[in-house]
Amino acid sequence: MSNWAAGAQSGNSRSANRSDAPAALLAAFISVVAIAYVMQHGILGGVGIAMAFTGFIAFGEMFRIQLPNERVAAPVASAFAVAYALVIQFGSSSQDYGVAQAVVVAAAGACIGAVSSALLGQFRQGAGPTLQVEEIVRRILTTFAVAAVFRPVAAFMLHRGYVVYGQAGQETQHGLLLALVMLVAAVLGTMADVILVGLARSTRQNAPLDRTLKDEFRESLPIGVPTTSSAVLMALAAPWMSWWALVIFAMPVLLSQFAFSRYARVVSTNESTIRALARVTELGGYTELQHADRVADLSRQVGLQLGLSSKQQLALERAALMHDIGQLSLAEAIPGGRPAPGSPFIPGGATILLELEQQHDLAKKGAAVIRDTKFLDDVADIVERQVDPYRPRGGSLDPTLPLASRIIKVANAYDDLVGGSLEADRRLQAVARLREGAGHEYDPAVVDVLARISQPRLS
Amino acid sequence: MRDLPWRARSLIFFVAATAVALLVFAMKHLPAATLADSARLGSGIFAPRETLKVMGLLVVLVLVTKLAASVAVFESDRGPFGVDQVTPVLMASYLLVGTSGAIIVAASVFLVMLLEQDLAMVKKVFNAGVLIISVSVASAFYWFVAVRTHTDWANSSFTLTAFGLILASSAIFVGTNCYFIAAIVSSVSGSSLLATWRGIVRDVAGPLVVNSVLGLMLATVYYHVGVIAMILVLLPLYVARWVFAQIAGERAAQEATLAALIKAVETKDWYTKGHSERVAVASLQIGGSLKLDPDLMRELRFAGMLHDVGKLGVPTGVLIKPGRLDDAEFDAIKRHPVLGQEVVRGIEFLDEAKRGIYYHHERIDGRGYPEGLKGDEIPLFARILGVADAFDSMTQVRSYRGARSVEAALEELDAHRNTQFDTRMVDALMGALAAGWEPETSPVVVTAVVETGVPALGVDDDDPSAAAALAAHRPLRVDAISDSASASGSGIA
Repeated sequence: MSNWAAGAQSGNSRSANRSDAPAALLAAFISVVAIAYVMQHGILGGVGIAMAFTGFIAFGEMFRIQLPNERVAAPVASAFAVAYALVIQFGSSSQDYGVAQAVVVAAAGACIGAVSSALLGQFRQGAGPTLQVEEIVRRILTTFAVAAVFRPVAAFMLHRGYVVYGQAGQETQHGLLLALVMLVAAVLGTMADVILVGLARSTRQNAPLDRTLKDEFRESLPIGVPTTSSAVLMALAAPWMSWWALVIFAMPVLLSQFAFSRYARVVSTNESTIRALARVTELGGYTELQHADRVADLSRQVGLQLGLSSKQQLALERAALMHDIGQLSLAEAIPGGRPAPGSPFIPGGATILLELEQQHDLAKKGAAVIRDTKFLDDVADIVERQVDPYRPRGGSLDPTLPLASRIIKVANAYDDLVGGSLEADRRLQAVARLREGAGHEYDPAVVDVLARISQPRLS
Repeated sequence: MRDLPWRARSLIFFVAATAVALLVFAMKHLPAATLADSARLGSGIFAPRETLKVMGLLVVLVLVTKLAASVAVFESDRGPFGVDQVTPVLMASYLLVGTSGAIIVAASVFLVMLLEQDLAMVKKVFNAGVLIISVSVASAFYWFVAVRTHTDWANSSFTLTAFGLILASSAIFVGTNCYFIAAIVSSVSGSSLLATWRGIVRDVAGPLVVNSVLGLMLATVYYHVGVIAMILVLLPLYVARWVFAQIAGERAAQEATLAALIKAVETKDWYTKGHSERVAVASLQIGGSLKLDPDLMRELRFAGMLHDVGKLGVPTGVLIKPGRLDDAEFDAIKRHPVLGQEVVRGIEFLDEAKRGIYYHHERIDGRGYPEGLKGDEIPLFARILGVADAFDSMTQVRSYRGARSVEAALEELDAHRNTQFDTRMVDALMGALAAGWEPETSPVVVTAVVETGVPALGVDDDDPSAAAALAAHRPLRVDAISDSASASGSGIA
């Protein structure tokens, strides 16, 4: 059993690595073809302009934002990369290059940016250089998608005389049509990016694809809107304003870069605050050291694999961190003991040692503390119901019981039984005990996922 | 209106009359806008018929953006700077349809203002009038210079001159607007006009640049592409607004979580109930007198809330023990700043607060704990917390004594200047009290306090009299940990 499961586990992690490979190979292939093509035909539309865009992309790549839930974005880089795929006239110089050149510029910019930030990181922290290949792949494929949709259509329109860029002061014909085509191409490209990231995340975190994609779309929207619209505006205004278009229409995307990095910072401070404060129960001697951290970590992994959305995931983690807050109301900590004769000794603070009624009472008190914040009602609901059985014997499923509560119930019981122990036997016993309760006490789906995660890895 | 001073009344009258005159002037000139006019006043960049169409569109845009909530783009600690989307639209108006057109577009703002419930009619008239005057001045300046220097933003040769001119006219727009707002504020409140104006201008300097760039964006994309592109310009602003709302929400959630958890911790120990919150408030009062910057103030609030969290790790038996404490028990109490610092160690970006919590029981004379730092070696927050903590402790009931009055507490603080407390912090607290701060104190105030020298029952080491006794038990000075950096990383040794 354990061998088989361990095999499946390592198989998973290997396939996670492999899943990124097709995308990377595709990007490499596209780049090589594009470079070969550009080498043969030369750079069109001015080397200076191409180099400037490369520089802006590289610059943007160096200022990535780390968003909650392991999301990374480089709005400035992606705005300039998409803009370069969309520009057909820059001042008086016509930009009649093809898909290949747009890809080469994006690839060069992404590589230069990634390498410089890796070097800078090494310089600053003395850590080994970490090159973010995934980001380069994203940039190349997104730009390719935008350019492949837009440039042939634009070339056709220009050729047939649908769009005419006039001399100074002269009006553009069919400017609106061109704008719409640009917008469609940019949106499609951004969507391709989202799908790419969603695919990678779903395999890496072992999460269901449909929910991951949906979540990825929802979470990418706020950063995708300014990026896409800035890119389109730069390309639209470039014929008249040339360099000024880049300066002026980069403002919205800089603004969102600023806003999002601030947001990410606040969220991360908030996370660390809750994580730290959840430890007051440890300080007070109520719970075992690191218990809350471990339950949160387990819950997070289970939640990801069950396809919770980013928002639910955030609430789940917070609830898991604070699930024992109710114990502060106890005059004395719960003493340690054995849940059944012959089973290993469990240190104090384990709620599974208590009568169900007492457990309910503590959950309620904890929820009351959290509800007092007035901002975390969803977290309070989860904490309040963390003790409720999945399906009471002879009863029926309660549709209002949050999945997050079911996850915490299982993760908490598991950690109460295993604690920080690394013994394989103890883990197997704990899982076996959870399996006994699956179906009435514990949610079988959650137990399954937890069993998979908790298997000791055999190398 | 009647209760306003005559200066304010005449100002409002002047603004309203000028605005009406400008509006009449604009109406008269608009249909007959000719090339000659264009050279003299600037009629925008379209043919007359086209100008009317564009104006109609701009009016619709004004109505829509004004009805939608204003967009908070810059978050500052004086509250978010509302970048009113109407301002960029007005800027785009004078670039597109010239002075007369922009005046009429600006006048349409008044229509939406009429719908606003919570604003007096006088204010509506005044605000709309100021808007009209500001637009006319800025536009007149723009076109005066543009016509003479042959600058044309819509031309293919968009230059630094064009951008600079737009920026300058935008500055004039905002400057004029601020002038009238400052004038009315100072005529009502009697404050200095120049100071008021400077304060307002400082607040709007950032949005000024954003506004002019936005106005230019709106005008350009409208001219070259059409209405659809205007939406592309405005969309990111709504997103930014959404993100800033999220940020505010997260911040509030963080503070609320902290407050709720501290409350839960305080239920352990009846006499400290509300202590953390009150120390936070007192610390903020001191910080306010010291004019700390807003980021530090936010951190100070955290430090105040969390300064005693380590007491949870001190056995309750020791905390509420009646009678004398032995050395071991004193040592247990003295560990609470260290334990507290352990709890907050993992929190990001709160270095000042962490130091404050760790050192809040240090004394200026070096007899405090955990490390016995002296004078300026003690971090700023620790010195603030020390005073706030002692002040709250003295004005609250303790099991071994009643609460002291504020005056008595201040006397005590005064008496321990430069031994226990930093003089500056004591002065800052007194300053806050003098400025009208009313601290929350216990309802039971006993005037005659029996000082026993060594407190007997349930000693509270925040209390100066008790703290003096504790200081006699000199802690072991850990000389290895002397600088605050290593201290904040070391935790419990």
